Amino acid sequence: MSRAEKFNNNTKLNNLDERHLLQRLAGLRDSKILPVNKSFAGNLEKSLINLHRQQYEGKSRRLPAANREKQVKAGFWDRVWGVYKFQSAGLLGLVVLVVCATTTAAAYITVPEVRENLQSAVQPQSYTTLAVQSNPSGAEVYLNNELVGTTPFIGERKLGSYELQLNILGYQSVSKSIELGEQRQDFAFEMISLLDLATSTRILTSSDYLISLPDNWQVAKTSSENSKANVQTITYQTKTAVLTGRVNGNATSATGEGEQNLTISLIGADGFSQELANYQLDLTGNDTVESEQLSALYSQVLGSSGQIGGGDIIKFQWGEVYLAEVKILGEKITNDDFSIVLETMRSFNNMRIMPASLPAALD
Amino acid sequence: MEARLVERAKKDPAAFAELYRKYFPKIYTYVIATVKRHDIAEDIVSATFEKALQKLGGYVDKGYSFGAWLYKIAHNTMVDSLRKENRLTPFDDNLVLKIDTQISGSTDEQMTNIELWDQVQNLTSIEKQIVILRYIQGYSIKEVSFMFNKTEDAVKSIAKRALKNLREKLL
Repeated sequence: MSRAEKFNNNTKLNNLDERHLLQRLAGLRDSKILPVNKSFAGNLEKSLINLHRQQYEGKSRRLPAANREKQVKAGFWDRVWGVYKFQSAGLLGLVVLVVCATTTAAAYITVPEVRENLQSAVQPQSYTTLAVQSNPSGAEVYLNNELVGTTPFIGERKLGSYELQLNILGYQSVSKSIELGEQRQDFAFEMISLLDLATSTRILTSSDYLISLPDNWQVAKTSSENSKANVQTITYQTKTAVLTGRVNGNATSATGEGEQNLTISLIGADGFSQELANYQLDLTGNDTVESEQLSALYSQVLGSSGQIGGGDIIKFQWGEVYLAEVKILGEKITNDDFSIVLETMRSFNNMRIMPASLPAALD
Repeated sequence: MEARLVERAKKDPAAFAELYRKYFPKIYTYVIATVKRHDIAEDIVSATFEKALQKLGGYVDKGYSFGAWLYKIAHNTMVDSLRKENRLTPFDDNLVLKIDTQISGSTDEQMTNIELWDQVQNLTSIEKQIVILRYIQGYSIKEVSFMFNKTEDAVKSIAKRALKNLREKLL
């Protein structure tokens, strides 16, 4: 039985009356959320006691030493009695009493030493302020690969080393190793648009990147109406791309013959698409259409997967450029069957945008 | 009985420590449920107890319990802190705040408590705070109005609305 089912079966919360709800709420009185930092409560207590003692000593400095000792001593026995009452009665309470009394007695006996220890126990500043801005704003801010917010970001973080990363769609991601000290740290980043990079730089490539399409790579079908995009997911290595051929038929397509409008597009993430080819075809039933297109598809970062029609998952890597040369054969168009066979594809995966001064092998 | 402890805590660190240990989990739970960021909650809770220690000498029982007085400090500290942050610091809405139920009830009751707490967390900020203080911690309308510096009618109205919303979430 699932947790939800147990919950429904074992309680009357489905038919809550107010009195029942109030009883349930009161039942949460002893429930608590504890700090993630398990030493926080103890350290704070030490700091507060230290602060309290400093205040107390400051006020009592004018008192005779004997009186001061008496007050401290009274505090000890009061505490022992208070601790005993704090615990529930019984053996456990007695044991805790003995332990606490022993601990407290030790503290009482060595007050000056304890005070010194407490002062040294006061933690140095353990958090500092981190502020991150970017242009444009709205970039996701990651610290050690954990998403902590979006720019403009201001937060308190523990001192130490972090790997700061900023991601925003359409822009080159930024990574930086940072060291958070006691002083507030401010960072501002000018995000570089991938499109700007694309127009101002050239793409460096090599024949090493040429790949062959697996034999069973692609066979796509349109719907019988010949009007809905067929979506085919192709996978190479760990990357997934979506190749779409669209066939927009008219009334004559009912027979599979006559004029057809054939559009071949590459669909990228985040709404990106690029039309590769558009044909006005006059088909007779068994025609073959060949198309060879070169396409540069700029991918966008996706922290998670996107989805396009038919449940196909798309996923691209941030800042990479996919370059594809696609040869498409259209075969046997009928009223309810249109297939596209992708014969070859050269894919330049993992291509980075490079500075214009470097030699470019791809025209 | 607590009044005597508070009086002693003005002079005696051990008595203050006893108060601290009693109220720390309650105050922390109240704050973290609102700010949903442990680092911010730690700052607010630290500041709350430091202020309480500084003001303790002037504390006089005016018909409000020490707890109500402490919660008022916590609430004001939290409001000041969030105002200072100017809402630039995003709350971690995905932070799952699980209550420690080891101390109360059977397994089924604990399960119910967890579900109920989850729904309390889904209330608006002010509704959540008032539900925690009024119905979970059991403070009177008068004390809650003192903590929030609101009229008793205003607190009653928010409390009523919060209960209604909570019931709807649970149905």
